[in-house]
Amino acid sequence: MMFFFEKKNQKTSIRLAPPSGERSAQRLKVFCFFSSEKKLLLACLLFWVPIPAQAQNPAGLFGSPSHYTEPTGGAVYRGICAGCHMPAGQGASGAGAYPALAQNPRLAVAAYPILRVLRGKGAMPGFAGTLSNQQIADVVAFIRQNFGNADPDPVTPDEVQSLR
Amino acid sequence: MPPDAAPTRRALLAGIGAVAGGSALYLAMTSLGLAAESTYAGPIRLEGDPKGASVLILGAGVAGMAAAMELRQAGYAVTVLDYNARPGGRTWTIRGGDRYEELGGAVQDCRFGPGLYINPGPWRLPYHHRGMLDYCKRLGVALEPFIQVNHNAYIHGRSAYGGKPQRYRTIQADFHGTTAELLAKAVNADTLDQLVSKDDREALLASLRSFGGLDADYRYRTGYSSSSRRGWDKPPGGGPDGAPVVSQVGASSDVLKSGLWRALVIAQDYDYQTTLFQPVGGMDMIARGFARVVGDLIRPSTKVTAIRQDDHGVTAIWTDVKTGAAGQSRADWCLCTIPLSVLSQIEMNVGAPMASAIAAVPYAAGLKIGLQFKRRFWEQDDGIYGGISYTDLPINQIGYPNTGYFADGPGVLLGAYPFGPYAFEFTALPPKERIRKAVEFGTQIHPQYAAEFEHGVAVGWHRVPGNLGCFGLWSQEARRTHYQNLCALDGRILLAGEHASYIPAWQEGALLSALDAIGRLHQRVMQG
Repeated sequence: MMFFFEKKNQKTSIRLAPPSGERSAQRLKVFCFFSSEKKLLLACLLFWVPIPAQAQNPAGLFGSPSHYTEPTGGAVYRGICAGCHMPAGQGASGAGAYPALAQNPRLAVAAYPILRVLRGKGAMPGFAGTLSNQQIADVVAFIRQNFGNADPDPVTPDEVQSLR
Repeated sequence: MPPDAAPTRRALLAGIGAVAGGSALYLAMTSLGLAAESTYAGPIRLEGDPKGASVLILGAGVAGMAAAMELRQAGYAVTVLDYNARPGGRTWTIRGGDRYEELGGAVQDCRFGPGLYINPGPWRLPYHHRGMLDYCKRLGVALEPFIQVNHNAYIHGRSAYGGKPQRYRTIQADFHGTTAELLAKAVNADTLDQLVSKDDREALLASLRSFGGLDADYRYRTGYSSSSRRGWDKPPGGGPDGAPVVSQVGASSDVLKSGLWRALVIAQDYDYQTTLFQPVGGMDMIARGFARVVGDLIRPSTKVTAIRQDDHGVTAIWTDVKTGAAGQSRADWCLCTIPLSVLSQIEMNVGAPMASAIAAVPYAAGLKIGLQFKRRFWEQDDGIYGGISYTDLPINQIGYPNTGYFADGPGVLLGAYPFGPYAFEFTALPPKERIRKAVEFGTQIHPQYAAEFEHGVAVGWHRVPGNLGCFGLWSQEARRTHYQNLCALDGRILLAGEHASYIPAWQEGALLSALDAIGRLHQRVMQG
């Protein structure tokens, strides 16, 4: 069984950006990434399950152990980003800080937040392997149109793809 | 097989482990040189007089406190600064009466009963983490067994066996039996002739029968042999009705399709092979043990805002987070164990290679939830004494207390321990919601949750003010580019911590990196 998974895994690992519909490929890619570096993570990533119907779970929370199933920009923000940047985008400060996204002039050019979400920065992990182009476009549009930001230009999945 | 389809070493090991069991995996690992023991070679010897040289240590976790202990012993003047009010860093235990305020301001007041606790960070010490075990001994920290594998715990999959939790024992027996039977069939059908010589064939068949609990015809079938492993419908008893009733083995494809066998592989991993230990009373007994020795050196509640070195020494600029007072500490050298998630935000004049390395490591999400119940129903009703149940629910696992067995009154279990997306999603919820979801999910495994749950504590590591993340998540590419630069002495500054080790997330990694760093630092000081 493991050989079978690994062969599929290797095929996907050379693909830079799996099409957003290919959930299983993305999951296996993430599995490989974690297991090669940190055995501890095997426990939670060894399972993958069908995505539950959105109707039962409108926020899309907890849809998969290896990628995110939040269906809208707001849901992605509340389900993931708010963990660090906080529910109102206000950021937080302890020994280090999470930057506020509220009233943040760096969001004016969409490429900046797109790149941050894709690749991360410093301690922030990248989400290129766990969010689709559509989800990233939606969440970037969401933060640029909320929290006192007024950058109404739409963000497209193609823009995200071009920065992968 | 084309070269690009060759299994990786890890996949090969996982395959061997999954099919042939832990001993085969271990043999394969040792032949590949992976299962060598810890590099810890006994107490460090820092010989020679440092002549009053001083070291400023940033961070009072395992790395910082071990370094402080050894450097003072060697004659250095040591000062330690730590952000938290308590020593230990991620070596941390939450008990009744503790208050925890996370980033964002949510406050949790733990109401666990006397003697009950949760370790939000590390919770186990493998037998081969020799450094940690030796320091526990030297510091007088009592250890007790950590039950990694409990054959009577559950493995649960939402779409496996109708969502009904299965006993670990049953899945293991069925998986071993099924794979052994399939392999025996292949041998008997002469399909493995190119791989197995005639001489080895009989030995292989005998081993498969023994390993898998197969009958005389190499079948894994309902009967005494299988039931003695997977469990009985009615276990053996005494008296006239003492005869056992065998349990029914399902179709051979059931266990393979269920996917539940994946949980079996975990305990075959080197990190989780028995014996494992835990400190009696909570993981922070290790922090307290270190603090008994070096607590007088630690300035707590001190937020470092800048680290500046010159030709003669290193100065840390800091703020007291309780009083707001500003201050500075200076020493000849600096050992910095601050997590990279925080350090990457602190102004520090090191060279570009180290600065790039500090900025190159994202921090993993991790989350633990402790739940208190009115009674230890997992013991009383389910016969589960310590160990771990695994599930594909977002809680990932349920850890039962490996201590206090048979006690009356409440008990605390680990109600969620996910990494990855589930950990991020739990962390983004308010603490009360995290706990509510953990209870909701856990009820699918233990229906008793509904009637017995009292209260809980939830720690998402990205919300922990001193850490901003669980552990450094090195990619192999980042290791190739940055790891040596992270570990190298930069002027008068050296880094240590789990992030400066090949044992990420484990206390042993933090400890070994600190011992290695102070060894190199001492050598440099002795050179003058």
